[in-house]
Amino acid sequence: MDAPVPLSVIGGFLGTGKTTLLNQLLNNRSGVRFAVLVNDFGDIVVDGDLITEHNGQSMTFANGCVCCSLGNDLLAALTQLLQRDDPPEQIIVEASGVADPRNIADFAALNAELYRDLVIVLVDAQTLRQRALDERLSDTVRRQIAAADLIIMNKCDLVDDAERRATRLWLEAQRDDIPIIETEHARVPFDFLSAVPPSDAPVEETTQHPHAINHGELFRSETLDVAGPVDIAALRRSLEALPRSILRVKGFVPIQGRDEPFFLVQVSGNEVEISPWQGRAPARAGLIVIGTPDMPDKQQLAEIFSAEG
Amino acid sequence: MNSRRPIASHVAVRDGRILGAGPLEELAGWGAYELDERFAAKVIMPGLIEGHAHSWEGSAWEDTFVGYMARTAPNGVRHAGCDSIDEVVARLMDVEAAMTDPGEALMAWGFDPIYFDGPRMNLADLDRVSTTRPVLVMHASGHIVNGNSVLLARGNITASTNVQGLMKDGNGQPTGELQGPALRQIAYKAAGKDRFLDMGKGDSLWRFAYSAQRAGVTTATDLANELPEGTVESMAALTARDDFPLRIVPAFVGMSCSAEDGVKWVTSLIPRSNEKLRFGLVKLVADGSIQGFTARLKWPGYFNGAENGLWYIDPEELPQRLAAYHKAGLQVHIHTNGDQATEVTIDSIEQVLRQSPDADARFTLQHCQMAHDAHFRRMARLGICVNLFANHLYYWGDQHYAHTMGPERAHRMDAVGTAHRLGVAYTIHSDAPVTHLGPLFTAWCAVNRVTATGRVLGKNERIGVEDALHAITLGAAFTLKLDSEIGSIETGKRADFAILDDDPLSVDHMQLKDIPVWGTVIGGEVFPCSEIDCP
Ligand SMILES: [Zn+2]
Repeated sequence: MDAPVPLSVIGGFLGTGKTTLLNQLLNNRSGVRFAVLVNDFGDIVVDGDLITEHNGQSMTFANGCVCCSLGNDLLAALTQLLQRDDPPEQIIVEASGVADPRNIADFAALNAELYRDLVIVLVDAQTLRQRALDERLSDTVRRQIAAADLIIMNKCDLVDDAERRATRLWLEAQRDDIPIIETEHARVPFDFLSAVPPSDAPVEETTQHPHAINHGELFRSETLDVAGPVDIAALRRSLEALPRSILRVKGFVPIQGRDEPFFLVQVSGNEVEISPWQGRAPARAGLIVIGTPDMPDKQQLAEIFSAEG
Repeated sequence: MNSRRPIASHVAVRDGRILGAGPLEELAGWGAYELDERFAAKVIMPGLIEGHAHSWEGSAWEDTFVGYMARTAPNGVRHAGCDSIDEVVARLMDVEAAMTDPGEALMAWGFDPIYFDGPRMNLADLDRVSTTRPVLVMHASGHIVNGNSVLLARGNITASTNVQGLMKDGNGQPTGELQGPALRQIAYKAAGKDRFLDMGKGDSLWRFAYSAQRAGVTTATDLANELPEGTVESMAALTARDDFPLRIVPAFVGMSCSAEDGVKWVTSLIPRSNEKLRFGLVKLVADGSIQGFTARLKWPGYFNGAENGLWYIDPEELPQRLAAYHKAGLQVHIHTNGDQATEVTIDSIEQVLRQSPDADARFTLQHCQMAHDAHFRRMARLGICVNLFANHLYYWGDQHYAHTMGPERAHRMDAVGTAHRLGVAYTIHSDAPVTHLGPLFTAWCAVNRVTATGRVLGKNERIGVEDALHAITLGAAFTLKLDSEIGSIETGKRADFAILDDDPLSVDHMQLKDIPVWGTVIGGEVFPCSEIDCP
């Protein structure tokens, strides 16, 4: 069986920037084949020459990505995707503003061919607190935030500093256990949203990739080499104890006492996943660590992992 | 139900339509006639109209009924209610014993544990039914299912499965109760059947039609159907047959596609309508159900303190969706159970009507169970119709009194009297198969407002028998914009009749629901219940 395909959910109310974010993924030039499931294609914008096929139900792009309409049967839509000749490397499902995104993530948790990646919730820095005061919406807003593994606080360019800080504090009061990242125009580093480690390139080259992290002011990433096979329990302990400033870790490592050459390592939100890798062999072992600017530096990270290992 | 001539001795029919109703001498003026005296000892009413039912009523009966209230199947067999988990299990064991294919799943529907105190249904209960074939019991809410061990094993659902809706016992083992859309779909897949996809297929449409016929219904909505091509084809083919005993008004449910695509699809369906099939209606769903605690309530919320329910549409998006369909000239019915959902929907309609004024859009609020006087006043002024869920009073009135709404709001629920008094165009419904299809029963509920245990909820909200009969005929036709064609017995309308063995205006109020239905007439074609041949 092939390695399970990661499935992430993007939730958030109308106007929080979900479509902008999805457009970025679909237009990525990093070679990751995303499948994006949306309710409404209407706002999906793709460079014309990038679309290779468009029927009523799906659009296929030259970069290997595909965008499909969700319809009312997610199970069937996912089955169809997984049965394609070129199945996607990562699936992203858009959830409506009032849906509980966990209900969608459950489909991944119940399917051996998928694994549940992030539940990402976008909030609009301009309107979040207003919505949270609206009697009709306040509990829905809170439930959505409770469901998130990661919150993207978008449109930070449209509020002043005091407002931005107040909104962030309000969010932190709801969730002090998950990353909250601040963005404008839904710009989030591609490496961060992609759960797929680049398996055909040496890990260390990733940061030089043209679409790798370039929002120096908001995010930082480090790559760590892994020397030899590591102890799985120790690795898990290190990953579970990472500071909140670290938003995501992904990569490949050899594990002591196991025959498989590499294990896939994923940390997203509160989830730590270490599983045997059956896909194409990566060039070398290593981890990419992505976080906010105040995350530990390379030296400190190396210590975190070696101290426990 | 013709207001100028509410009672007549004869009705003249030609080419499927009504020439007139009145004394024979008057009608003879139309020319040579053949006198049909089959119904001389019967009462002919306008064909009854069910403004909120689902073709799921037909597909549901392919499975074993395990509901709390007794029900008659489309084939006329009366099924007693199950008033305990043990009775559900006993019934399923009987059905299991008669099954021949050892691999086939045993499916049941209508299970309603809100009536039961004590422990929830668990794996051990359903393992008593079978340890070799999957057993799946769907709850009345439609959102929860119970399975046996075989079903869970086939669905690969184990103690280590980590999803919110998987109920586990104190030892971390699954109890067999599966909540939420993902687990429900996995369960159906594990059983090898998907009843939701069966809706609108041929056999289920026949069953739906027979259920309607037994209730004296000649026109029913199928009020929430995705209307995929296959369903449209089978609906069009069946309703074109002379022997198909029902006019169907399907409502396209515009929830899982963009309004733009919805407008395009529904508009393309309209020319495929026929005399017994009318496309063009659109349904949106604002919130969930009250007894499922998923309806959106205004302050102070649920009586038992349950947290507020769920929006099925973003309240900020509702006006946009309504506007898209409205501007395309399509009529929209909106499911609003809780009072907050009702209020948000009225606000949205008001906004849409300001942009695109239309004095006769007939937006219709479906269920609208908790609306209060101020809501009805606004509805009257905005020209919004309502279809109240009168059957709820009997089926779950006691639960609303004790758990969901509390006494005061339970008394005002499904406020038919207020709608009548304040001049809101109204009808009443069953939401079959949620409750049983039977407009005379629904009328009985509106007239008597009696719960299953005999408590009267909202004496002042009761309406008279004549008004209730109007609600289940012309009242319903009005909410469908079909009142010029059906709903009364008068010149020019379709010859659709319910043939009753007794007169609803002369029997005792409490007997209204018990009047036997002899059959129906649709477009002049006679359909006796005694001739129904249904598996
Ligand atoms: Zn319904």
